Amino acid sequence: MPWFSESWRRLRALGRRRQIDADLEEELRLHMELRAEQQVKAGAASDEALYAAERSLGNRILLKETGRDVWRWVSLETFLQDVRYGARMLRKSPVFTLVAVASLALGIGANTAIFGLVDRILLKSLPVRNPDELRLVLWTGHSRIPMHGGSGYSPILYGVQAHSSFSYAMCKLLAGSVS
Amino acid sequence: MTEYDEIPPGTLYIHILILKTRAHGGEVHGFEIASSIQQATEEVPQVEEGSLYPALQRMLLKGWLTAEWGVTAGNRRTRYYRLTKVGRKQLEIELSQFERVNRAIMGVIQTA
Repeated sequence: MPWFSESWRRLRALGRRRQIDADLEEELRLHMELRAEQQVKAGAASDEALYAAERSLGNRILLKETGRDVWRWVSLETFLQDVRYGARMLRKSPVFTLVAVASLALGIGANTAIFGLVDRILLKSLPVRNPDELRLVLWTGHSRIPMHGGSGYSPILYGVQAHSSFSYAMCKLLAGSVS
Repeated sequence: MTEYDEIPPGTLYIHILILKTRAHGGEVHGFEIASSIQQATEEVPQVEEGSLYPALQRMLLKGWLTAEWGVTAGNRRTRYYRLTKVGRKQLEIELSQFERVNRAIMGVIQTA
């Protein structure tokens, strides 16, 4: 993945801007000096030779800039600048920061709590095997018919008493028909 | 100011890449590259010598080369460049690209 390793190299260069600059500077200066020495050996005056070497090398400042710009990652650099700017602004007005952070915390907290509840009630299935096979069975009948009341909960359904539990015999019958 | 005849754009990479494959021990520094480009082209098509260095940076970024600081025969500190496997492959790509463009240009010249 060439783009990946290129990004990685660019990322590592982010913190080494000064080093890259210094390296280029040293490299260019050595080039100039070696070229000048070569010309001195060929019989040129030394200051003349250095001047000529500087000319043939080209615009050193521009070269250094071009060499450094190769490593730039403009979008990431602007993003980091924005982050730094934001942090500075927040530090400048601590009360505003506090209010903003507190309201965010409250908002996130409340949302998490409500979602947790909904998740527990609506989204997560019951802790049994094959929960989709569970059925709610309502047994309707007269309130005078003796049924196991359980918790005593017996709502009125279509004008008749609805019971949420069965007698032992009924339970046996149901269990037998299911299994 | 002297007008420089320029090395055709894009061929600077080829020069550098070829140099690396021939270099002793696979390592060369910037001045060696500049000097042999000058010799190889008999000083006619000159490139502004310094433009070699940004090109080297670009090649480092692309991963065609690696660089390491070392000491020259004259006991001077400088950066040595070495061709990578990616760089070797890139040389083939650059060469075939150059050939294609060259053929196209020759075709135009001959029909004219």
